[in-house]
Amino acid sequence: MHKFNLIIIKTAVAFFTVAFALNLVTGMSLLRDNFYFQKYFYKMQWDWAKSEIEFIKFYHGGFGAWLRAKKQEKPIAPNESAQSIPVLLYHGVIDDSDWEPDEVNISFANFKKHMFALKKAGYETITLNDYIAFSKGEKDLPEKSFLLTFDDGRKDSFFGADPVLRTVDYTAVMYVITGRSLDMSDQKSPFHLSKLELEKMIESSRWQIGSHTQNGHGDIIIGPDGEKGHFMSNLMWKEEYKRFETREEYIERIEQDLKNSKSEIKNVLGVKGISFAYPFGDFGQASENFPASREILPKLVDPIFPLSFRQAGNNQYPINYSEGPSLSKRINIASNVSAKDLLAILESNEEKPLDDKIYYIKDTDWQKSWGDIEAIDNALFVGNSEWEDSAMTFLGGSYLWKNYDVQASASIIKGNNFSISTRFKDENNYASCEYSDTRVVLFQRSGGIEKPFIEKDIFTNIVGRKTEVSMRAQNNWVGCYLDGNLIVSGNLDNNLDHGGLGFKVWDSTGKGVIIKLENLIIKKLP
Amino acid sequence: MNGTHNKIIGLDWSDLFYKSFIILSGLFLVFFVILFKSKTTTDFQLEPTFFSYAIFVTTFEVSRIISAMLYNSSFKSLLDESRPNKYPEKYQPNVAFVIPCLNEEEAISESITQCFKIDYPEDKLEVIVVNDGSTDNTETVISKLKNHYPRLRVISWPNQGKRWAMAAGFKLSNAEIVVQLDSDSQVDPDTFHELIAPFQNPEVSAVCALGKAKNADANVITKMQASYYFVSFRILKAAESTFNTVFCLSGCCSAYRKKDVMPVIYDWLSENFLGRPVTWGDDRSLTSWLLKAGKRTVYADKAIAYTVVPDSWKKLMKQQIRWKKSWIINALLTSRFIYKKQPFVALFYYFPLVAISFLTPFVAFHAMIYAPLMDGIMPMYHIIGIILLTALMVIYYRYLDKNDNYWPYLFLWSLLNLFFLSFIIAWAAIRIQDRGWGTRQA
Repeated sequence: MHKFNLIIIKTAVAFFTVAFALNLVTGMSLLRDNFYFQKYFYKMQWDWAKSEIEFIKFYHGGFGAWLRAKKQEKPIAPNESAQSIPVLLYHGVIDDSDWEPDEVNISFANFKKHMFALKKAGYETITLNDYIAFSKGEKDLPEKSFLLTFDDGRKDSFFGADPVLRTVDYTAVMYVITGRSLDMSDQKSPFHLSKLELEKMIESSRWQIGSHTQNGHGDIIIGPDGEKGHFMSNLMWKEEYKRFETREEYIERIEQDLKNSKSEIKNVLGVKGISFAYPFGDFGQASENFPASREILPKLVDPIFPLSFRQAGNNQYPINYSEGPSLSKRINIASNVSAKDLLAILESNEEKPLDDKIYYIKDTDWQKSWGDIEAIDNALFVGNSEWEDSAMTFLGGSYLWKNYDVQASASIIKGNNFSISTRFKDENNYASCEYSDTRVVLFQRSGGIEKPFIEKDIFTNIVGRKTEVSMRAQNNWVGCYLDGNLIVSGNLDNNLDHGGLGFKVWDSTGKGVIIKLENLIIKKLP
Repeated sequence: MNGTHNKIIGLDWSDLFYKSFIILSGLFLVFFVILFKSKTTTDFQLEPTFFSYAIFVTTFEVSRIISAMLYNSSFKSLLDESRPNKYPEKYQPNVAFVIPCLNEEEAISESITQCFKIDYPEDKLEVIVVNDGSTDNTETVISKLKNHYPRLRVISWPNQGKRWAMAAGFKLSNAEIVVQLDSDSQVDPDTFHELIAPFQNPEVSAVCALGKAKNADANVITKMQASYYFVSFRILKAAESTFNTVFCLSGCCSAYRKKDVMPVIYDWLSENFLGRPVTWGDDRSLTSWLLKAGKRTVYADKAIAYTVVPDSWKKLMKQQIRWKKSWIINALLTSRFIYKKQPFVALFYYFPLVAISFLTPFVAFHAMIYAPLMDGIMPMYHIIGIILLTALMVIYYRYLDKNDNYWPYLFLWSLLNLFFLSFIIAWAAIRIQDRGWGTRQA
């Protein structure tokens, strides 16, 4: 009986041991790549739990207040519809105490502050489809809507941002370089998101995926001496033939890359890649050997990706209106932007109602094209910065203004020219009244082309005194006033049917400038 | 008899269920250890050894616990075999204690006295003390005791070594069962019959008692050893005993069937390694010779013996080096025959054990020294893994005896092992030709 018993025991032990070992081996090899068994997965859960608590403290001021607030009815969402949508652009979200600000990425702590502040201020994210519908003018979105985007398909942006998004219930779009994330090769990048992670992102319904090219996020050889330039906006130098690629080859190369990246998103992730982000924000404007790419690229991108994004330049309103989804603008959020700065940026770009009489003296309301702005004691000082010898500023949220009159008392402290702009859309579309010592010019630029200007030689004596200047834009008529008198007037190009307010100051000798603007009054005209 | 069915199969199902629960909770724990450990090896393809090591060690420990859980069942069936027809109710064979001693003037007296306290027929119990050339007052102490216990037999000769002293006892006694007792150890008179009971089964050649640290409460070193003794007897030896193949019948107190020992006693006495006689490791070696002869060796969980454990780092280290040396030599000896005699045990226990004990120093070196210095990888996961494995042991430890309070020291012991003791085997291998005892003279 003992021998029989021993056989049973041996069998049991052998069975358990082998089964256990097999379980471990198979379990490990199966779960090694399982999303839920990755270190970062647990870190994300932990970050999420922490950020939930931090958010309650931040939003409600404490748990007691939070419990009380839960009982009360939720505030009704703003009913007014947004006239513009800001799109924020982030790259990596880095949770590493050794990391130092690098202009491109943002720290986890700072990102969290951004999102919490946005949530508390009432901002809500929208989806790509909503955005497209808005930009086509097909859909009204509530005020304080914005789109959140991340470039380069980096792991750290997902790991860092997702717990925060989950807390504040936001969605975001990840622009993936498909050649680095979705290629069929087994080579796993430690930096770029993997197929598995992207699938989980889509599954969470917090993330949408867009294209950031297949392999176009980098440099190619663009000259016989091995010069390098952006993949998308330059002609490639073909070393074996000692020539540049032809225009047709260029189109073929770009089109192929775009199509591949779209089909990879479709085939590997099973979602439609409807949007595209230009690598480095270069849609041809930064081309080194092929300026025509500026015209060609949108024509190649738009049929494949109805929605495309660039980065907003300094000389334009960084937000988007219902003017079509192609080449939409994004605000790049650099490392050092604080939550307060971010709110100020969005706030200053909110539509400013054109009432009968308004004073805009807060310096954060003004966007810097170049130079510096400062508001001191109800006066606005516009001057050059170290790097430029002139200055230009425009009023955020004034893009949709039509008929209005601008008055100001201008004192030139340094420099000898200044101008008021109305109907300002960007550096290529505006009208302005330029004042110098000897003349006043009504200048306009539309679609980047200078229109014939109207000028009047007049001794203005603008330097060294306080000058009352004003500019009036009404329908397609615009007039420049000095000390209450109409000096020049003319008709505007049809393109300039609306646009905001700007000031520019420069010096013909290039010695630096400062202008003080007081008693700024903007009047709505019928 | 109630529960006959269970006894025949040897499995108590409700107990098994509880044990399975322990195993499962352990598995859960260990599973995570391994998953996390696999993350520290940045690339499996690069370091399969260290990856496999974790699986290997974990599996081994779990298989130990499972085997230990089946110990009671195996042991009971060994005793129950065909009783009551075959064996008399009161089994009391002739028993002889053999106590070799060398300069033990303080401890010897109690060791001998305890033997005479055993409730056993006088004519069937003899105590033989072999004074192996003591230079202190041992001789006097023994003489005094002889006056008190006339039945005490004393051999006194110049120093010959522990093995020869033991062998003399075997030869001299006429008893059927010879209990080998260290001079600093005592049997527990109340549980003595448990040590003898397994010999009812004629297949059993030797029985090892449960060794407990007598001076457990002295300091943290002895407390750690108390917890380690608990594990090494009640879990590891029990697991070995499940298959009637205990590999080391502890020197502190083990009983042998004389007629099974005598055929191998000269092989044992003349054991050589690399041309020099092996002076220590007598217990492990004698067990091996018995196993080689195809004998059964078991462990009696209820028979208790007390022994004095080293109470200073220096003594502990000397003892550990000696044990490791004897393990190295004995592993080579045993490996040569065990797969023929006990293929199951060899495959599932002995060879894995040998592999682990020789791999561990390398893995510990890699995790604790190489990786932190060369790759900047801190051994956090390795240490967590060791602690969790110990925790698994502790779960079963607590199940076995809820009143034993030394279990927290098992964690200390594991860490000591990790940081220090696992490297000692390397030192032991280097110094293998030094056959000195360290703690006592040969």
